Amino acid sequence: MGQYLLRNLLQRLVLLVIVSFLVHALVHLAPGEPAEVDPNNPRFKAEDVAKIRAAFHLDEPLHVQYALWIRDLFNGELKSFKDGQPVLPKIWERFLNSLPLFICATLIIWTLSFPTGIHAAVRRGSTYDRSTTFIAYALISVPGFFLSYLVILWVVNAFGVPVIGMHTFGSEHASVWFRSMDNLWHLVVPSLMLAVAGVAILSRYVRSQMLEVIGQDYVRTARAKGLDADSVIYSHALRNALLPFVTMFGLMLPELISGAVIIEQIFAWPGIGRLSFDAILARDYPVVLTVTLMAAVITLAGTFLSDILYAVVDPRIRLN
Amino acid sequence: MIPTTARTLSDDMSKRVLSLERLHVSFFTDAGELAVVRDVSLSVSAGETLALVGESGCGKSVTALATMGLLDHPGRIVAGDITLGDDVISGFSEPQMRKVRGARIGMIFQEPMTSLNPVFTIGRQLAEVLRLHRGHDDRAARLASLALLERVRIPAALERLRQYPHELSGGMKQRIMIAMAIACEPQLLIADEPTTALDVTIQAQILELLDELQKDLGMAVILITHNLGVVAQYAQRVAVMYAGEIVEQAPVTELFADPRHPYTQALLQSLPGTVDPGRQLNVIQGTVPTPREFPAGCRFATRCGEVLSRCASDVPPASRHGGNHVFSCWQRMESTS
Repeated sequence: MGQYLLRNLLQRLVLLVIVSFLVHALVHLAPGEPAEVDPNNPRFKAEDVAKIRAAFHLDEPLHVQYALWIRDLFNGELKSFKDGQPVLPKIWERFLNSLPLFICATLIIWTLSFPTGIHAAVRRGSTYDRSTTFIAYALISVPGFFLSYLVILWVVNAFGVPVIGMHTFGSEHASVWFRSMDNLWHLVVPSLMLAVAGVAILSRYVRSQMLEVIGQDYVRTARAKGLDADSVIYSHALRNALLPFVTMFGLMLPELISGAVIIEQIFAWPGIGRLSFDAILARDYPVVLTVTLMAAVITLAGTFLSDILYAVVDPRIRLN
Repeated sequence: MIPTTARTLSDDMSKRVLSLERLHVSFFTDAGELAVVRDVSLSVSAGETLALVGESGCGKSVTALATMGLLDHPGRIVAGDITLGDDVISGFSEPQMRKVRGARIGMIFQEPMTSLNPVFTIGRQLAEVLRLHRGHDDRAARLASLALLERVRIPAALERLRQYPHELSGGMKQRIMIAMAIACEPQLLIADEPTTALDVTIQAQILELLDELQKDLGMAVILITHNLGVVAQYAQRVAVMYAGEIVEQAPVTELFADPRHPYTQALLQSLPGTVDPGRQLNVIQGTVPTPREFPAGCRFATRCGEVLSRCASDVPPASRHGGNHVFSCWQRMESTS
């Protein structure tokens, strides 16, 4: 098993190197470059552009630029083009800002999807099943940003609480109670919006997975033993239906990061999604590259974790 | 002609374990009611094996599931009584039925490969029944499970308890299924094609095991099969089903020696032994009609070689031939009476 894990890790490392090549090449191939962020600025002269290009090594061949990026990344000397700040602390700080959002969204997604999906599967064809199906497809179809604006309007009007940003500006000196409630309100709405699509999609997966398992022979066996409906569904069926979700759980974080790009922009949340969005607009290569590479690392780590978890929860799978 | 129900059929009423009386099961689909089981009456006594035979899709399994109270929506018993011992279980509520399933009626299925839960150990799946119906604690359940595994002749029982279904062979899994079904020493065991999915050599072993357990425990057994060889060897009585109805019911020797219903005759004719090697086997032309296409009268009318004009429209009543032999056929009834 140890050997398997080692081989698996090495494969992932090789994959990561390939991904870093691709990411670097893609970002440089994309139109627009750091020196031309503001081409209409009259104070931007040709020699300024040349100066910027030289400073950021943009005239070097691609492979040299790649080597420089990797070198600086590992030295910890990688600096943002935009403000000259070190990239890694910057990303880390933004990631910590996003973390509460990710944790809340994950909790919402997994705690809502499962009961909803299981219930819909058990009572297939019922009014409950039909309405959750309708709502799920509605939530998948309505764009997240549109729904977010509707919800912001509603929350602000109905409850009179601000929801933009991480907390209300100037509330630092308010009471602890006020600040906690303020933080909570600021956290709840973006978390919900970040979770909406996840809930809609995951609950559909849970439903179809559960339906498939409920039709299996071993579920009939469990019923023939005289077990009550709850034991049949939550012990015999659910345990089997859960297996594919181990894979999905490993991919959860990268998906949330990509979802956060839009949601953090809407809610002015200073998190990692907004950081990458701003970095793209500013052609801030070091930040864009590093965030993308980190997303790749998280994806690979997540699937690695899934592989291990699979062997834990499914006795038919052995790691070797 | 005497209208006959199961009540008049059984030799020994006091030993009767299960009787179905005029059972009707329908599936209520968007296209309307499908009468998949019509007017089925049968009974089985302690220590007796009743074979339920017929082609695929003739309602054998539905009858069994109805007996277990396991019919899935949209299937439902629309008429008739199911009596287990002294209880009319067709009137039982779901919580009452749960105390029957696995305790008073055990059931084993056709596919041992998929009938055990892949993510639980054998030990856990066995112990579950014992904890549920016998109130055993972990230790007692474990000891009882070991005894059960030995009873169904599984070697290295202690090790098996820790294993998962995928680590066992098909025959072994079916033994586990049998162990689970007899764990609470049920009055009735329903074996729904227990050997169809197994190798021929394993089939014989499993059937021998069932036979032996039946003798030990004195259970009534309903053996659902389409293997007439198995019927001849292990059953005392046979009920032949066709398109949701029992067309003929008789003691085994009598049915094989003197089949009355044209369908039973055709079934026996189609056995490979009836023609010389190298010759084409006898077949029953056509296929079992789907429930939507069932004729209003005798359901075999569309494939019968001796069909009369009234067959298609009138349901033939059950008629008696000798002591325990019942069949439903206009043609035969008229030729005997």
